[in-house]
Amino acid sequence: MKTAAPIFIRSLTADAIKLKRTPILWIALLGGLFVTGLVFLIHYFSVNEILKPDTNPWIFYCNFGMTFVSLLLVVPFVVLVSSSVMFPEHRAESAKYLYSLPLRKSQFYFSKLVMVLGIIALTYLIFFTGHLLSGWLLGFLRPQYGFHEYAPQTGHFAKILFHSYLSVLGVAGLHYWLSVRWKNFIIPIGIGLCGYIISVILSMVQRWDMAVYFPYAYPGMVGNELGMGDSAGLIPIGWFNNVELFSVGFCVLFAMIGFIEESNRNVK
Amino acid sequence: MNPSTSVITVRGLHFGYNKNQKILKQLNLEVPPSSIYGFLGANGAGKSTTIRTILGLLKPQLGQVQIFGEEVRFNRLSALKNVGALIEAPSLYRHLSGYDNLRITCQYLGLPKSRIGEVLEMVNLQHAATKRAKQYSTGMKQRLGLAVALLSDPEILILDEPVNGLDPTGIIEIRNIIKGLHQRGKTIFLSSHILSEIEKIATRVGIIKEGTMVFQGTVNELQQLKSSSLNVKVLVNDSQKVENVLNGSHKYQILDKNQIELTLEDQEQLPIIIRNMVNKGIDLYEVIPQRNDLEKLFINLTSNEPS
Repeated sequence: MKTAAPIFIRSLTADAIKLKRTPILWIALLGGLFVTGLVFLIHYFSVNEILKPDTNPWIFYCNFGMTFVSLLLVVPFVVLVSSSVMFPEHRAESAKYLYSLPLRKSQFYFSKLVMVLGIIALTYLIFFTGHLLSGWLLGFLRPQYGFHEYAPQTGHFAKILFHSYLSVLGVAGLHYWLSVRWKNFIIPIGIGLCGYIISVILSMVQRWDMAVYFPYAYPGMVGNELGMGDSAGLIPIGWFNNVELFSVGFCVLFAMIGFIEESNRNVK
Repeated sequence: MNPSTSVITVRGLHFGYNKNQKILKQLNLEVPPSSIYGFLGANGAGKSTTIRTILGLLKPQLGQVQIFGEEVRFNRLSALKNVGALIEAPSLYRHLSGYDNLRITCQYLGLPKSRIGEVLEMVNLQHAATKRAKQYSTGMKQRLGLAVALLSDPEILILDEPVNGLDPTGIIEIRNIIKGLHQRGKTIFLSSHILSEIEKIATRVGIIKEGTMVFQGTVNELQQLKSSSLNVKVLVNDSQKVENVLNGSHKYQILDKNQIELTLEDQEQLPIIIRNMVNKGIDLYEVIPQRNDLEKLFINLTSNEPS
């Protein structure tokens, strides 16, 4: 007798079982908390120089956090998560078994991609919750800064983090493909590192005209403009902007290239 | 054999990883239902490539693979519906327990968790269900791989070198499990490079050499092949004199000064040769028929050197 759960949900559950006893969820937790901890410490020790008096400290605190996440965390983190999620599959040489099951290859491929995107989203959620809690704690430890006098800007914070999440999807799609393609995770991590360095250089020289075609630069661009208010060449398109739409487009493109390649490869 | 009665039919299969390479050449194969099909060949003969092509993991350049009449290339899902496979070393998530490894396949295939206990019992691994797969011995890993393949209760089991690397106890365990499954009516397609292993359990044998089938039939038919010639070792006072008696009319090999091995087309020739030897004054001490066993036949069939 077969269980009635939809086939894709069953694949996701199978992928979730594979996360047991792996460091991936710890990476997600610590990744989110690391940045919020860093932002908390910066504010705890030098808040007078950062926060302006008589303004809602939550807005700056959240914007600062989002910029920090976008600039520092997301690219290395996404590279690490994609490689870590695929690592047990490569080690088990699971393709020869999974692809001999009477199931579509797309089921395995896209379920894993959703898993990678879900773990990144989870990190954002952990960061969101942790950051608000750290602001609340800062209100106790440094009452003069007024965190308890203003309402936390949860809606605003959720919105800018969502924009940041969209901006990272291009890199996520690319690195998922690379992680599926190469058993040796040093290759995707090396490519990710190069991409990250180039994105930092593009940001430093402010070549937004070039950066707009380079997915590694997107989180930094969105973080700079939506978080710190610095111009990073974003063009608003409705609720979104050009970089976010490019990011989603690149995610779909890389995911599809990866899928076509995976579907047609001979499993040695 | 009528192809419609075969559960696996392979016709004119050609495969290579590039245009110049030919790993499988015009391979034909038929697996009857409820049989244990022993797929034999030396290392590198193309056994694993054939199995991977049957399972749709490799795309052939030419030829057909059908499972229960369904073409694997075009109807992979329905063709593999009743197939369980274990390809070389099992694909196990080493950081997970045996139970969780089985739970993953249950999830993929939408099977109830109650199947896990049943298959663990079949492969005698109930006691190690909560142990991590990386702590399993090679034999236990192989049995867990077999349990994973059995979860969907498939009608055909395809096992690629399932006893490779196992100690004698492990080999016997796997052999007994396979025999038990066969008694339950399963068709088992089993590859190996060890003839004695296949000889013990197979009801039908296929031998592959350099990507081509060189023999396909029952174990009895294979044994008939071996009995068509007779090898005899003769102990005499002088091998050289025997050579003169044979006078090029029979195949022979001088082993040493007193021993010579004759290969005869049929056993009627033996008393004639012995009479001739006695008439020529050769002292004959012993005539020992040589077992032309399956091992030898297998080597003859799969060896590159002319026999």
